[in-house]
Amino acid sequence: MTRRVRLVGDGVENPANARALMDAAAMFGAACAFRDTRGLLAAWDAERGGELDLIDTTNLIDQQWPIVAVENTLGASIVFGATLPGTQASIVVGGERLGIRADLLRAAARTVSIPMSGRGVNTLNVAAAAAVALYYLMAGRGLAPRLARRPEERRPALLLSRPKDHVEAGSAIRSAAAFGWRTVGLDDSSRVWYGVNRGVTAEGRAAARSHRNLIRVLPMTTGSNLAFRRIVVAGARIDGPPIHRVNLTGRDTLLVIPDEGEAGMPSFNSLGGSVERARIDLSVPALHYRYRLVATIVMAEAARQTGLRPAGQPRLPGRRGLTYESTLSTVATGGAEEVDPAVLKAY
Amino acid sequence: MRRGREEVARRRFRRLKKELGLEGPEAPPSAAGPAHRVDIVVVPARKGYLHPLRPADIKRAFEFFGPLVVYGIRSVEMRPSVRPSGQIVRIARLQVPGRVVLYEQVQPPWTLSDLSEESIDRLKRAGASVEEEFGTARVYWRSEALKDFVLFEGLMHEIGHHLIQQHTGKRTVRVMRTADHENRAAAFVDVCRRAWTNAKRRQ
Repeated sequence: MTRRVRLVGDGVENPANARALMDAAAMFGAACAFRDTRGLLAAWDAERGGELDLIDTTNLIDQQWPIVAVENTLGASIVFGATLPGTQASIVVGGERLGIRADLLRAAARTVSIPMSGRGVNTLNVAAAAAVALYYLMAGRGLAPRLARRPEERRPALLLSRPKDHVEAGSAIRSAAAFGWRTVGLDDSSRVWYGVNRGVTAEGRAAARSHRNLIRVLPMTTGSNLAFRRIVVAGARIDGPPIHRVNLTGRDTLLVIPDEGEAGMPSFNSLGGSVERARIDLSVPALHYRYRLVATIVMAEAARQTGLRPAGQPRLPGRRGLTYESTLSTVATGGAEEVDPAVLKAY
Repeated sequence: MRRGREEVARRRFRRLKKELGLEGPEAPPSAAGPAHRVDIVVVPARKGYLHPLRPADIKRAFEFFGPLVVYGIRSVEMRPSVRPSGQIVRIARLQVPGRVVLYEQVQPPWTLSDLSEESIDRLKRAGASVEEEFGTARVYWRSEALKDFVLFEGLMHEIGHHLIQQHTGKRTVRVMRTADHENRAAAFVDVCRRAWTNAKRRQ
């Protein structure tokens, strides 16, 4: 069955995000259009120029193209198990700040959400969210999310290997935080994250939302031998079984997401452990590769396999909020060593 | 950024002290008057413990220091204390925004071990007599002194923290380093204690 899908950005403001959305649509062979309610066209013309497909509200709310809204709202179904409402549909993602407008949400035939367990950062970049939605909706596999009482115990370690662009790296780090990773390894052989000039640093950190992103980024090297029993290398151009058939979970598993741009990929055999490979199915992977999109899809699949906490189960206890306490303090006794006075005298 | 916030906090705190008339040792609290309503919750103390302050004492203190000091305080709760490891006496806690918990205290005399010099100074300043021997301190209280200790080192100290948060407009975000926060709260307690003592002397 051939599915026709168009991706619509509603109220997107940033031309760079618009470009990334167009790439996300192209990766899946979908059309891409924008409902311009926030001055995207003017910014687009000023910054990049070129052609930008716009769509008005009347054409968007069309019975022939039922709307699937990607938005974290009450009553939204989880994207992992969702399917398209028919053979053709408009998948709508909202702008950076305000999300999808109410008129489209009301008109949507289906609303899906991407479950995220991150603290501090709990939203994805708009293009990354669109890529995840397109991946699960277009494949239509109906992959049910796994329920787990303690998903943290099944979460693999994550290594972002050699991203070649600082914004792509930052956006992937943001995605990792949003999906609940608290630590992420970064192989910065391409020199885009550490020791770069201030402008590059600022752009990368802004993409990572570092002002409220609590994730720790640890420098790692892909060539080093790490103590993991299993290494799973996942990407769009990697020769291996489909990613949903490969087990990505386990504390002793390292999930490696390499940048598969033009330059050759490193060998992962030196990381130690047994190396497995997994591939995400894209319609046109060769033409429109973006690291953040592929990395976010891999992370979403890992998060799906790791599991969601059942509804109604309380979250792990967090911080109690801001408190100050008045106490009588004691002298520090921890870490002290008792010394025989005779020994001390001799010394 | 942080320095800017601290400067604003410091300025507001100075202004607050000025408005309260707590700048000089002789100055009476000018903003005295009826305070806004604060819920006072009392959970009875366990056997062998006591709440040194009564609700009437708290109300009297609030009336003395006035609405500028207690603005934003939602409740004062007297509760049992669960003693955590590493802290021997818990006096009070501020749960931002505006909830002060005063813990019950052991019936005096107290026998405490490994007290820091700073804590012993605090106790002596509050009017306790402290006998030290081999790292163990025996603390004797007159009833008024214990009451003042909990009033100032507990309630007013936490209100000092509250005012810093409240007057910076950042009610749930830590506005300065913890050490600076503690120092400001201690300074606030000093001016309050001075005003309270002067007023008592005049009576």
